[in-house]
Amino acid sequence: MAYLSIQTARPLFLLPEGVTNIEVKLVDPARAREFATFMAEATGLRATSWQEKNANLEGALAAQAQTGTLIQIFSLISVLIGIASALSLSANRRRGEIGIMRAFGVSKRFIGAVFVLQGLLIGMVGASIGCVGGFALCSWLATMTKPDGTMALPIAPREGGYVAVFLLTTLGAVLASVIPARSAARLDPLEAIQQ
Amino acid sequence: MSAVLDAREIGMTFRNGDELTEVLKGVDLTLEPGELAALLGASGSGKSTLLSIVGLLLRPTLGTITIGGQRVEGLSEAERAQFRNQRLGFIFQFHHLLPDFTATENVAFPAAAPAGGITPAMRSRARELLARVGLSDRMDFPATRLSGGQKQRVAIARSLMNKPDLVLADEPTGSLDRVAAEQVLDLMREVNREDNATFLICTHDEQVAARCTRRISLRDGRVESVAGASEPGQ
Repeated sequence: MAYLSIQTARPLFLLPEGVTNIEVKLVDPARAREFATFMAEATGLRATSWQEKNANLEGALAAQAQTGTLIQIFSLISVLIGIASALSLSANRRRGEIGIMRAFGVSKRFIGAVFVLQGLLIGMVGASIGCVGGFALCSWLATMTKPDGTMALPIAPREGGYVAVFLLTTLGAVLASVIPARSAARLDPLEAIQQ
Repeated sequence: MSAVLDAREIGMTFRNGDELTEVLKGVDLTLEPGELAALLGASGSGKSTLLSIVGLLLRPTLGTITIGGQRVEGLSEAERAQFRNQRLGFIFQFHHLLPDFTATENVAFPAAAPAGGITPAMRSRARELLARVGLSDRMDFPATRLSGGQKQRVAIARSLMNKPDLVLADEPTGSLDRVAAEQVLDLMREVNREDNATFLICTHDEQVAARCTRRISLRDGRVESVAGASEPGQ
């Protein structure tokens, strides 16, 4: 790469005066469109934002972000279905015990609360393992480099939304436990014991 | 002395679509304190339904029930649950012990569940009861490590935890071999005699009924015969 003064460069590019373009680097690249509009209005020159210049790239980045969000949503849904299935199976397997508890006067609310609590614990433990495991995996991937020494994958482990993931997963697990909890609480003790 | 159980004109009709099946047809049943009564009958005679009604697990279509001096047919679902917990004991054919709990915890369960945990007094009472049923050396065993007969002994101890007015047993020896069944019956007789506990045992086994002080036979939803002394503890 070579640097030349404007005076030296102009004759080489057959440009007696002016420059071909000026590039401006912003602290916040997301505000490029707004800044380009401002510059065009202020100077009367044509100002182009990087998004406009790289419309395809921007579209690809947006699609990538949407795909990531969709993957996260479907992962969460599959986790919740898994929790609901596991708790439903548990409620079914423990019909006799639930029946005997109800026969001994344990309230429906107590039985339901046990299953919701179980869902809460599964959610908290699962979310904790997921967050710690995810951070560890990302930290390891972040250490991988290309031959030129730059990062092989653009990963920033500390930027992950761990708190949001933990809260969403735990809340989801509690919601997923509601249906099995209701079905367990509604079990007819007599029927459950006789089976 | 007032009766522990006084059930009058109990009727029960099940509806299955448009079809009505009358299972109990005006059954009267009275138990005095300390009785060990057998409720006998062939399959379909209505004995299990009657036991479930007396145990407040089913609401009768007709009739009145008084247990320990309290009329119970008008109680709400929550009140019935509380009544079952505090005034009734249950022993079922399949013990249904909680597998994650020890023998002591299983016995203490009826008292611990409403309280939200086991207090030292509950644990002490549970251990007393386990000693009473001959399981002093199995108190801290998980329920899964007990034999069938031992599990049923734990179930008997559990039924006595809250000092119930009446213990209801549904085929309590039905899942046991002859030796274990004899031991469980002996134990129930012993508890009946020594603690003056009142038992109503639902069975189709004549040998079980022969060990009871009173035999109430049901046939086609009616009391067919009542035999044996109604004096307690005999």
